[in-house]
Amino acid sequence: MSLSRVFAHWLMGRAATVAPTNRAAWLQAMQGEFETLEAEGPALSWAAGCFTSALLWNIHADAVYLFALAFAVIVTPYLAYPLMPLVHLPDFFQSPLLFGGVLLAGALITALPCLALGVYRPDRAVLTAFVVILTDPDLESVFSKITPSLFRVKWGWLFILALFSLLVIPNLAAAGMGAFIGRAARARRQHST
Amino acid sequence: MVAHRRLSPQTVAVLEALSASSDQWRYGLEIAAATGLKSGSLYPILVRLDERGLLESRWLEPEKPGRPPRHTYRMTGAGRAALRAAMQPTPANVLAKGALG
Repeated sequence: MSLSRVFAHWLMGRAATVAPTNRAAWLQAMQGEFETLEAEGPALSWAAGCFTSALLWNIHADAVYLFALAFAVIVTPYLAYPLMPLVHLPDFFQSPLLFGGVLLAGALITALPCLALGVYRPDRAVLTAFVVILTDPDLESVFSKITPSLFRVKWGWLFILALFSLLVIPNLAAAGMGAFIGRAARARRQHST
Repeated sequence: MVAHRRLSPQTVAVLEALSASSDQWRYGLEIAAATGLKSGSLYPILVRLDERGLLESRWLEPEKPGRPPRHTYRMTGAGRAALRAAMQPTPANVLAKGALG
């Protein structure tokens, strides 16, 4: 096998690994045509085109995902803004219903982008959830304002665990649910074609 | 519902290549040869046309053993309608045809 053919095969292999999963069938289609090309020049040119397409598809898929993730991280805290006046009520920390209700509502709001991005990129669902969790302003306020006082209370660590679970579990669950919906939708679409 | 976005001259060329034998399934290499497009330009167009329902595709068993199956393409009714719309003599289409040469 000539050097040109070896390089062309290498490019096709790279294209298959670089392409996003939703373009795998199209890479197989390109591979099918590539295998029928006998002449070396056209085969190398075809492989270079496939690699370029795969790379651009990858960049496009990641660019849309990263933009959506950045948008979610920046915009989501503002969606929880209407809850803020409740936090400043005098009996906020004394009322379990109010305290728990606001925390739960906040957790559900941050879970929304995890659900949406999980549907869009099931392969990034866990990453999405952790980025949203770690950039959540509530995480900082829970640990800087609430946690120190809870450490002084007997069994306070249980409350800390519960608070942390409220921040983590809804996001992970929503991302997982989104990934499940996204995968099921893709499987249904592939089945129908 | 099919979105009526303006088709690029390259996309129109692909649809024209498919319309030349609208009932026949055509390979990617045949379309590339008919349009002069490289694989890096052709396949993103095929993907878009497929997603917009303007073409349909199917896998064919390989002609020689040991080779992967081949993907073939055929124009749909929506594709024919989109091509007819793109060929209407509007100012935008005249400019696009001029750009393609």
